[in-house]
Amino acid sequence: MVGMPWVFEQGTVLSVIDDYLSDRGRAVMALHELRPKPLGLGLPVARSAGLSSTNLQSFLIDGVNMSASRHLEEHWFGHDRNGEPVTPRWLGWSGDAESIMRWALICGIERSLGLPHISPAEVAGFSGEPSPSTAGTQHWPVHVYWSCGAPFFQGWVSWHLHGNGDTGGVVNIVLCTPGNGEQINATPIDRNPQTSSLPDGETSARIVGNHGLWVVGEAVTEKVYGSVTVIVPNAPGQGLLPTSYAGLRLRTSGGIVISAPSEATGGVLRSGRRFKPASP
Amino acid sequence: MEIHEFIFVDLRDQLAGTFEPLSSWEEAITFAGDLGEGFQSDGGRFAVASWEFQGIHVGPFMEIGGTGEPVSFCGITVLDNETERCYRSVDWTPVLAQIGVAVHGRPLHAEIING
Repeated sequence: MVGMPWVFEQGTVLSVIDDYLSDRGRAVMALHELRPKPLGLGLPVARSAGLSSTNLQSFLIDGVNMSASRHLEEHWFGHDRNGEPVTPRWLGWSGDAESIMRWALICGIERSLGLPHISPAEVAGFSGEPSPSTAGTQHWPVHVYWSCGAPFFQGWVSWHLHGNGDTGGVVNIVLCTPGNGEQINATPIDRNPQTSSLPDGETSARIVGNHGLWVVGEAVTEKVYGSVTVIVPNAPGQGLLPTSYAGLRLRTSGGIVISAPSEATGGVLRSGRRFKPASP
Repeated sequence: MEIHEFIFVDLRDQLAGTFEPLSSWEEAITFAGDLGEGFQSDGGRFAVASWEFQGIHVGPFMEIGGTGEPVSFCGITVLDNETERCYRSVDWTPVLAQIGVAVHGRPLHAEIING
């Protein structure tokens, strides 16, 4: 979320959201905060779901030290803390990123807690907001991921029941976003000397902790250029239309590589990343 | 062959099946821009004209099947009357956007090999 060299990540921020929502009381509170109220207001997404955690208050982004909340507000949602519009970082897309992320989290938490789905159309007239004591007993873990490089911003929510109904399921939320101009590592191997030796990252994944995120791919990526318009003499009736895709085509080869990105580059700490509330 | 007539036949024959006119080919191909009226070099060896096509994407273009999207693109055709060959420069880039090919905003890291 704060610098992303691959197309998929969990990283520090989303790991903290996972941990925040692993507490049932906090999950109920997050649902209450995120759901729009009758006047159309809900708590700003960047101030809910554990983003106030003390370990999310300092990230260096383009030379500026900022919190994850401010990063989300400015670079993802396109407004500053006062609600004034700023230019978000998405290339080739504009839209209501905050509402999409809000409703992806709402849907995921609803499924985690086993509550009925209250749709965007129904929420204005909804008055049965649960409390921790009325929300039932179900609580499934929620995992949030980010995939970057889609043509537009969407949130995807999946859930599966594998065992006991109260604790035997799992919810996955994937935030699919457009690109932000950051380069993508072309293989699972991190060749950036500044990030390749960070803790918990492994070029060849071996160590298995309590938490993990591995990437599987091939070792070499080549650019294969399609045909482009070249002015060459043609016989009449021939050679007008391009014969192949003129955009960039990629070819990967060189054998399977399985690596573990460091947390700073989108992976997860083997011991997990905990939500740390601010001191009262 | 007169340049406008040459371009009309050349475009119609090659675009058919990939791009089709909304109504008629006569309305789909227009001659526009500073070179729209056509220009002939000294001695008459080269004739050139600029053109524009407007129609519908109906068949494979750069390996992308027909989308039914409206398209519009421009080009310049140069006809060499001596060799009976032609040169065409077409700006295809807008067509990719018009048929919905999006740029995802993630350039690949320069470490990769240029094939």
